[in-house]
Amino acid sequence: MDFARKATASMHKLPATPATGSGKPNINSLPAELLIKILSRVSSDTPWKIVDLGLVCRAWYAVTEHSSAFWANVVSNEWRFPSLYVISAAAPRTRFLDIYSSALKQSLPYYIAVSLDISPFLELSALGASKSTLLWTLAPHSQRLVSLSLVIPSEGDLQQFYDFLSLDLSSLVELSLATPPLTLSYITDAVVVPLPVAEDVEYKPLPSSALPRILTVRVTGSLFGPWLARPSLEHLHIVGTGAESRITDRVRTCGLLIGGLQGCPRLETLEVDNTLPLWTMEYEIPVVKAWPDAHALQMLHTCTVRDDPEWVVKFTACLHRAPLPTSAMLDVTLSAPQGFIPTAGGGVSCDSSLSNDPHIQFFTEEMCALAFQRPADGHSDTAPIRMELNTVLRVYAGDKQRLELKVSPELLTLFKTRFGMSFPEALVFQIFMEPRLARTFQYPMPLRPDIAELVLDLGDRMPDTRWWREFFRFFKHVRRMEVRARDALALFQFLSGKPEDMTGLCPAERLRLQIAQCGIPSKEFMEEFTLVGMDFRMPDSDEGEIAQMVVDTFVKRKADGRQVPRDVTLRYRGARRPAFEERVVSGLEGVVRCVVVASS
Amino acid sequence: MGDSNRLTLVASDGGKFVVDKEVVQMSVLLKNMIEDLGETDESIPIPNVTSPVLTKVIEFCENHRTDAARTDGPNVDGDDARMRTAVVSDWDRQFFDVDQDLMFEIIVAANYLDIKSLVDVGCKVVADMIKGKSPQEIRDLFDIVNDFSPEEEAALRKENEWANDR
Repeated sequence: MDFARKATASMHKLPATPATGSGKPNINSLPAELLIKILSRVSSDTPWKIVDLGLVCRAWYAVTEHSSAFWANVVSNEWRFPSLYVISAAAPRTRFLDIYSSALKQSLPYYIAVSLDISPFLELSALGASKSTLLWTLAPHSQRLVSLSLVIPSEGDLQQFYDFLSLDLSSLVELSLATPPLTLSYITDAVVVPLPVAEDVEYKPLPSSALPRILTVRVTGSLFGPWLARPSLEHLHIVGTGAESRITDRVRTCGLLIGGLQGCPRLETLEVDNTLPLWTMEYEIPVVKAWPDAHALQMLHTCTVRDDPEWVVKFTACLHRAPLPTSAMLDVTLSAPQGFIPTAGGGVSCDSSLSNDPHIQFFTEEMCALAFQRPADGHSDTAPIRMELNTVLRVYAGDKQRLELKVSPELLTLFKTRFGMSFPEALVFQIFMEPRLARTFQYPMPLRPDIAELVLDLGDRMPDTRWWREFFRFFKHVRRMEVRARDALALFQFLSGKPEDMTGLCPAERLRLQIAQCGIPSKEFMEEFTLVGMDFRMPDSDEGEIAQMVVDTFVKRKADGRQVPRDVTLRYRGARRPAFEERVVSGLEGVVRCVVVASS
Repeated sequence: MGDSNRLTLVASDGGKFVVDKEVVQMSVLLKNMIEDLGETDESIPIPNVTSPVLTKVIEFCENHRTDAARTDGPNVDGDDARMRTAVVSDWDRQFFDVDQDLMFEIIVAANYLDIKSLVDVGCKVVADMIKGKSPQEIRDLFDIVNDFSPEEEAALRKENEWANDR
């Protein structure tokens, strides 16, 4: 050992030598900052093995021994414990902690981003090794921490971390906290379930001086609560631990979520990914009902929510009450309802009626209001609204996207297999089925969405005339409408006002249809109508018949004294068809002001 | 006046490359230069980069042109936080499937032109080449001379024994 020290000491005095054998371009001819960058990346998952790199040559030894930038990078790699064999024995464990401590010292004076994953070794406490020792090794360097990522496997660790946060962490801008994935015990071969949050921590506020510059928090749902709410926080991501979200990843209660959000007045980004809480504890009801705090979410730019429709609907109701700022973008993904929803325990309220509900309620009054009517400073926003509806609903106010509502592929399949509907059909069905929502869309409701432009893409679907009737019941006041469809037969049948086929309908449905058809006719009708993608290769797509159908539709409307669009544009698939174009244009002369017919 | 969306880069050996400005702007150096020059038909000399290397650099930028608008996570002094988690894509790995001379020349050119993503990917690829190899294997791979005396090397090995004892 003395010899080793002597040899090492002598090498400190030696300049790094060019270490190339043939004169060709070599890794050692790279600028120092690039060599440092490369070497510090080598053992990103086992940083302690970095010591081997110093054995390659003097140049690399010089980097591993003397470069603070190198060690700042190494420290910023994710550090996992070495094997249980090493860490469970006192001597190697001490050596490992020494190495870590030494790496931290050698990284001075750089700022550091630290990621510690000790999750595979939940049983270390039982073996006498303190996980917290590793955490507290960081304490002398707390002021240099700009980013900290931790896996917190137990209540004890959480308590330790809570205490750790009272250190001077004045540079910390990014914090990531996770619970470990389910793991197999190395000792018992049984599944190790992460422990829940210590109840005395979740509502315990941090000192006001803690984390003064924190900007971003990424946290597993089960760890979130008011204790993490900081006034400076701008980006909050509450997420599950993996692709398959677990019940244990969710925020434990509504009160913890709502209480936490109220403590973050500067929040610009909020992501809640399959972690919305299922329950409200009785003692939290006042907190939840008091939502929102006057300042909650007032600076929000983007809100991303992914979850079961039921929980998303509830959360959007909270956002509506906040209310979401006019400029904020709401990005909602509805995922298939989880098959397993546990029953509630004592003292807990829980409503989980969705899983086997034949109707998946996903478009509510609140979501509609967030999409179309957001009050700005007490006034309704007057920016022109554009709506796109295909496999996604997108709503724009002016140039700014306001809502993106989409469904997971599994839920899309559910729509198709269980209800035989595409997403646009399901959305209109939702409006139709919910009386309050349907009223919102109907004339003369003052809060009816004022949509300047609507683009409806039906792909290969061909909804029937009944669907088109419901669709125009809600959207005929749209000023510019573009429909993308391969077959528009049913659309033109509806527009021409052909009597609806009532065969096969039950008496109640027949009565409802008759009442709807006898409703007070509105003078409203789209000003510009565009049909894109009509396909003449579809069955029964005779060019002459289609031209006649288009002409007859608008001629009949006009003859009946009903509104016709001012401008009509038809863009069909395939090569030019001059005869078709001529027939439509001449047929609509004097009926509509402007007709454009062309191949797309 | 030529196409205002394209410009000509001239490599150190005189090779000329007409490239979209959008692509070129992945290089912070060239982006700043274009902003300083304004609208111009003049070619931009790249004195430190040869034609074969510039060809590869442009190929990378063309392939990653849509990445340019993406924002990355906060930087950490001394390195980029993004790089720690970056996974090298199949395309990038294929891109660096060249001889070592060219590989290092690309990395140096990317560093000179300040194309962060190319530097990051290059360093990661080289790091992956090193990963899991013994010091002697690394020396063989990169043609590095072992300039330690046997005594020095033995002493260092002894000091590092703990880390390999698994």
